[in-house]
Amino acid sequence: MEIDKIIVSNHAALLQKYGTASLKKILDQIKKLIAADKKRNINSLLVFVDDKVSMKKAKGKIVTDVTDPEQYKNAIDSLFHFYTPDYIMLLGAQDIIPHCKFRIPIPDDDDSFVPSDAAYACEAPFSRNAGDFIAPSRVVGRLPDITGVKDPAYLIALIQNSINWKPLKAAQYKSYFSLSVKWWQKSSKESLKNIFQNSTKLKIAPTTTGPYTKPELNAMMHFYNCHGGLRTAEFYGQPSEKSESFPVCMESSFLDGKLSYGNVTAAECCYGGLLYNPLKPTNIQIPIANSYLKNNAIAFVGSTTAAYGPPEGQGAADYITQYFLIAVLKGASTGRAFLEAQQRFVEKGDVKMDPMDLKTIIQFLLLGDPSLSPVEEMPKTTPGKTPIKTIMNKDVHEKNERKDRRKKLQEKSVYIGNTNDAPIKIESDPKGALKTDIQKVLQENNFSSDGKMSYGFKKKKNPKSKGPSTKQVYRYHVYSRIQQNEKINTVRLLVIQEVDNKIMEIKEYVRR
Amino acid sequence: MYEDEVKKTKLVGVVAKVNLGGMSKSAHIGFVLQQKDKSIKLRRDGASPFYDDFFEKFENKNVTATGFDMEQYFLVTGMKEIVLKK
Repeated sequence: MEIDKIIVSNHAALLQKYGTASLKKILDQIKKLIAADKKRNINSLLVFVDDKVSMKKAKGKIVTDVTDPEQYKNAIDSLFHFYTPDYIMLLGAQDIIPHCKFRIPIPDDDDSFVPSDAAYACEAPFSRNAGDFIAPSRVVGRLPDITGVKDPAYLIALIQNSINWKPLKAAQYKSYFSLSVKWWQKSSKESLKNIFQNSTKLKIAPTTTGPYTKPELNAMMHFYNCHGGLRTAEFYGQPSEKSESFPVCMESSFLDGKLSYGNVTAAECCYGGLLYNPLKPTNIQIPIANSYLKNNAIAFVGSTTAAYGPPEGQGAADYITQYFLIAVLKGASTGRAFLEAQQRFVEKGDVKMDPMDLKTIIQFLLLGDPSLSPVEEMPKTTPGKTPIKTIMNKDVHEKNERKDRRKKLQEKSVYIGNTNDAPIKIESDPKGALKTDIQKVLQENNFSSDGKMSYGFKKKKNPKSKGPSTKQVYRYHVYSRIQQNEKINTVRLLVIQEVDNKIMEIKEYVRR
Repeated sequence: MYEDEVKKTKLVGVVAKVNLGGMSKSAHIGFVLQQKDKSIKLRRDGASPFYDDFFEKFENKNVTATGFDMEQYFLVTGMKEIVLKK
């Protein structure tokens, strides 16, 4: 039997966390999920990466260390190559299946590493270099439990939501709830117009600070462009760039009993997708992402770390989140929608990525069963295809269409991998005319040459395409500037793109 | 980060107000504990992760902070000013 979806977990880790009786309850629900998937024309299989028989069958090595992402990555690669599934669902939070961790140096960035699921979605073998994972090709989502919490009720409820889900008409997902930091509202409105063709429902924080009514929160899609903090169950507003006021505008408990079943949410907020342990070292509310799924959302896309955006217009976190929601509205499963968003983000960006774009592709993840389609598919009228008069052999047709889409996404990943490069930090000291030109740019933009980092690009060893190659040498020089204000200092980042010792582009990022 | 491994500890240093978050969407002014060769961001549960005015009274003072070293920040459960006896 051809396997369409693998549900990947670690038996020993689940057993240690939940104990025998509770684990049995979880596994009973997984059996029901596999049966429900079968009715949805998806053949699913639960595989434990620490099970010798299963891993031997897939010609892979078992995971012996629950904290070692390298072992997990190798095991998942083996399973993917053996079963070639259309969906990979990671079952459990980071204490069951760890994130891969990457160091992405950016001037003044607080994150010493970036927890990520991107590597599990990529064909490239395990490495500690984030730049190896900019071209995802696999549909991956994580159905998380709560890190460190031993009560199985949460995970059982999430699995039951997957079992019972039935797609809705697209029109039902046109209703949305959206919150934005006050001084980011222009960018937020632009995102909403791209997704929903209007921004009339946008709420601005402050003055909006919640809590919210059920009619406000029961909209099927939620979109956030707010501040977030490391290990906090809150999102925050801010009245202006210079303000030291960060009023809470959303918290995990605000969602209790107020969401609609099938909610899909995307959050640009820093740390919005971080699955922290709410019990240790101190007891706090569960993460907002966990709260969304607990309150019947079926997908949440967020960032594990601090996210980036430009001072004006759109970029980085703005794009990857809106691309995801747009793909969901077009009828994709949540997993395919996220993969399409990842690929579109890299494809539309610079061929030579800047460091903030690299961090963006690595830090965002999908939480939820990736095989669920929020919006009912209309196979006869797929956008971009000539309408079909009649579909014969419906089930086989549906499966073939899905396999065709996966093939295209895999090929696109190869294309993206061949055409895009990720930056690496280098030591670079511009000289001669370039040095003079950079100094002029810095002067014009009121930057000094302090606080600088430079990035270069490695030559590809075995490019798969034989098309025209870029012989120019690209570099980015990134300068930071701290502007002393009365109460709060403004930090800006000037990104100078250099090609063959000539300045080509200048971009500016600012704290938002 | 595996919070299970985090144990309560004490740090000594000077509280300082600095820019945090770089150029990210959540960059802000916040407080750090400056030690001899490093500094670590200070946070308290239930308080704003951005600007916690609890630390204002300790600014530029030598303190003992009790709490948990969370790698990227120090989760403060108690703070005392170190008063030098003359």
